[in-house]
Order: sequence, then structure tokens, then C-alpha cells
Amino acid sequence: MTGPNTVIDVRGEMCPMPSLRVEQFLKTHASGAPFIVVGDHLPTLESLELLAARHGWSVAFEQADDGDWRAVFTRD
Amino acid sequence: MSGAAFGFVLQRSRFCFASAFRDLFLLRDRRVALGILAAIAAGSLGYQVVFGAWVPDPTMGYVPPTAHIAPAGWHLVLGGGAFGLGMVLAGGCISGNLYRLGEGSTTAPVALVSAGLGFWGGFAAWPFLYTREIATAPVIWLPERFGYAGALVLQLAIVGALAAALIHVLPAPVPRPAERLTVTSGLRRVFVQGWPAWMGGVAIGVIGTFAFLRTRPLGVTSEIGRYARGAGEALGLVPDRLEGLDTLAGCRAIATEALLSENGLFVAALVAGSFCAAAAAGEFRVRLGRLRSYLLAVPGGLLLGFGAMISLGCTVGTLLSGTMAFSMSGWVFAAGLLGGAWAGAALLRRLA
Repeated sequence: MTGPNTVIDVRGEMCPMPSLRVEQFLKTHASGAPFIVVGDHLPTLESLELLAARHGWSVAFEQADDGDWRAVFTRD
Repeated sequence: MSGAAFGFVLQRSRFCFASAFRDLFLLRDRRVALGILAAIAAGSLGYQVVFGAWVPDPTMGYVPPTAHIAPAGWHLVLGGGAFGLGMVLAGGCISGNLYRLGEGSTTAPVALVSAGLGFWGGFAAWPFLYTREIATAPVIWLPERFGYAGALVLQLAIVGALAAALIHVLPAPVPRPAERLTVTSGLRRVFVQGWPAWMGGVAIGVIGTFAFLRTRPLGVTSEIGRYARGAGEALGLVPDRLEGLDTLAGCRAIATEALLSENGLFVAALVAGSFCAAAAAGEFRVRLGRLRSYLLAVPGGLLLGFGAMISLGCTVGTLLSGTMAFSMSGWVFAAGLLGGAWAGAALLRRLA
């Protein structure tokens, strides 16, 4: 696979676990290398936008055919 | 009709009571909580019009019997606390789990069945709570004390003060890039993209008013309670007589013979409405959860059922339909919810 090689898989996690796991990662992830979050619960995206903006990251969303989404985080 | 509309709006605006309360603490996110306040404000205006037509002078001691105006006592702090903790653990309140059922969730049925069992706990505690508190707790209907104008000013002042506090204390959400609105993009927004929470709130206030005017106030738990009561009685686990229950306003579990009551139709329509909304947006599919989600759904559901039974309703029947009807009981329940959600948030933070 090309692109970022850190993937946080939050599929099947119920709110608010995806956001909490991503927030923890953002707090400890010092290198600033891009990473991806994969999930299946759409409301999570709004929280991810908020977290990204708060920690100084940009986030782009892609929708996969099977209903999963991928959120690509890059450092601003 | 109102059930389907309610389900559609809940699904589209992600109107989640659990996240409204929980994310204040966990993510410092105020958006959904502001949506609830918008619903209460819009519903108060609507209820005011309906009340005014039915009861010209509210200070005469006649309280509209079908509205969810119930005794306000410490049992609501207990019920709200249990419900608030339960909804955070189960990932949604009762209506939240119903609309997630329409999206294809497999944790939602676990939470809902557990909630049914939780009702048994509520029934068991009822005689004690009723004699100790509920029978003597005051029924406070704000218009009776302050007149319609005074009650509306007071209520909107409370809503406004809470909204101002949220906006002041919690940081602003991310600004969205402006997008030009055309007919097609407008339709896409309504059916495909999520709605902003405040818009869902206003829509829910309007639906709540219509439901009250045409049939009964919005509520989702009386049908679940009725099944739980019927099953519990058949098994000898629930006493035949629940003192005082049938005289109070709210989502009561009334024993009837019909397979589906009016509220049952409402609940079924809610799930169907959510299914339609999810399917139209391409979001429906059977979703498997992680083991942890199922394990949390059980205690969460039990607490939801217990809290909803002793409070005569949930975040819809007691919080929304209570506050919109200017009943103090709705606000006391809200305080309990806030405490319960705070405890749930602290617990989940440890588990993450």
C-alpha cells in the first residue's frame, strides 16, 4: 500500500471510542507523519474534524464502496 | 407519521442525546447539546400555542392532563442519573438505539432487550419510590405559577442562559467552508449529507408540537415498558398493581391487550423512518460491533430501562416532552442526565 503506513482501525467501535482513540494517538504522535483512520460509523467524522482542527492537523475523508470510510490525517 | 418523521430527522441530524451530554465532557463539543436546546426552545413556542387554545387561564389549577407534566422529585435525579450513565455506556439512549436499529446496528438490539429487563428493576423499585417520594413530590407547571407569558420568558431565559454558558465555556467547532446553495445541492443536503444539530433541533420541536396537538406528546418508552410489564407479570416478577403509576402523566407502561398500541406504531415508524433515511443516504448495512460494544450495551441497557421506568420516560418523553410542556420534571431529569453522563464519560475515558 502506498501512502501513510500508520492505520488506526476503529471499525465496529461504538461512540465515543473512535474519537478517544484518535485523540490519544494525536497526543502521543510526535513525529507528525501522516496517518489513516478506518471506520464505519459516519457520525464519528464530525468529531474527527473537531479533533484534527484542535491539534493542528488537516483531515480528508474518502468513502469506500463497502460503506467504510478512511480519514487521512496530515500535519498542517 | 410523526414517528417516521422523527426517525428520519434523528438519523439525518445524528440527533444523539448520548453524545449531546457525553461529548460536553469527553470532547468539549457543544454542537449536539445546542441542538437539544434548540428543540426545547422551538417546542416551547409550539406547546405555548396549543396550551393557549386549550386552557385559556393556566393559573386556575387545571393542568393539561395529556401533557407530560409530572411530579418533580429526587426520583428524577436518580432516574436521570441512571439513564445518563446507561446511554453513555450503551452508546445511545433508547431512541438512539431504535434509530441505530434502522441503520443496521447489531449492538442496538442487545441494548434494547437489556432495557426491557431494566424496566423490571424499575417496577421492583417503584412501590418504594412512590410512597417515599413520587406520591408527595410537587407537580410544577410553570404557567400555573407565572402565567403563560412569564413561563415562556422564564423558560427561554433558562435555555438562552444554558446556550450562552455552553458557547462561552466550550471552544467553537470547526468552521465549514461556505458552499453555494442550489436546488440540487439543497436536496443533497437534506437527504444525503448530515444536518447540523440545531436544524434537527428545530425540526424536532415542530414535530413534538404536532404530536402533542394531534395525539400524544412524543415518547418512546411506554411500549417497551408495556411489553416488559406484560412479560414480567406472566413470569410473576412484576406485581400486578403498581401503586399510583396509572394516575401519573408520562410514558406509562399501561397493560392493554392490543399487540401494538399507538406508541408501538410510533416506535415501529421511528425505526422505519430511520431505515429510509439511512437507505436513501446509502448508509444502511448490517454492522457488527466489537465484543466490548456488546459487553457495554448490556449494563447500559439495564440502566436505561431502570431510569426510564422510574422517570416515566426517557430523553424524549421526559426531557423533551416534559420541558417543552413547561414542566419542572423535565429540568430535574436533565440535571440527573448531566450527572450520569459525566460519570459515564469518566468511566469510558478509563476504558479507551
